[in-house]
Amino acid sequence: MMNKEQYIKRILKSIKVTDKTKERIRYDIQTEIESMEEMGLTIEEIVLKKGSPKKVADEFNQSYSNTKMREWHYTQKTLKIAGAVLLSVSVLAFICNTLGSTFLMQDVSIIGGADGPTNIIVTEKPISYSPDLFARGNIVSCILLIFGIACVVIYYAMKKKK
Amino acid sequence: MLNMMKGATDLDFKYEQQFKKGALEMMLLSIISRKRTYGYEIILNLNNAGEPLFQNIKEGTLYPVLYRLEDSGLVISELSTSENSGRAKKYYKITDLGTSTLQEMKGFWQSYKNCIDKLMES
Repeated sequence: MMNKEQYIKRILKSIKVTDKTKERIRYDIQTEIESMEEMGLTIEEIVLKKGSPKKVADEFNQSYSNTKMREWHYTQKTLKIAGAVLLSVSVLAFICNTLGSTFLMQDVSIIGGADGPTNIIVTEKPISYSPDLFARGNIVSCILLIFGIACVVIYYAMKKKK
Repeated sequence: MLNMMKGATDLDFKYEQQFKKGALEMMLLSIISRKRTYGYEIILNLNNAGEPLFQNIKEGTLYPVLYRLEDSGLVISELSTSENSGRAKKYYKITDLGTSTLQEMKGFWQSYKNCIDKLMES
């Protein structure tokens, strides 16, 4: 059997509203459940009385259907995912670019002691990785980073208002 | 005088448009105007009133209306510690704007009701 927190979490997960509205609903449902507990009801009895998380969420979704709330919910969700993906890809691209430039531009290795080299290894470059390519890679990473930051900023600005 | 009449007509028109969905808003404002209260207490109030129309009201219907009232500045919510349990609860209380809007709504409701009654009787 789920506890109070799990019950509230499952309700909120299924409600298609903005994050700010979810926070409002969280406090109200929490107050509601605690009031019922004060009246002597157990969490099992409360769940039976109120209904499954899906049923409670469906009632909210019904009330918010055909309103802008649904639109805002999907916009926020898209911004959150896009922001996370763009920021991750930009960091990954930067790391790959740096590693690529470090290893692929280096073609001579010297192994030896202080008295002189004992072994010189010359390797062929698997692909040509010029400083120009390195710069282009960094530009792409920066563009992805800027778009990622823009998504995050718009998301938080929207979260504050709606 | 003409402006006053126009103002009254505009107001009536506004309420007429919103009346169906506004009935619950008026009910909630009226309950909250009596004392600071929280969602579950409002549900119990409506359920125990014995009126079938509002007897089975659920949180999924109630809270979106409360949020609309709050966004319009008619009520405010606050987290406050309960006297009985010491736990923090979310309470709603009416604002000055809410009180005056409730009076306007009641006035409109009365004239609307009188008009319907008169038409039904004739």
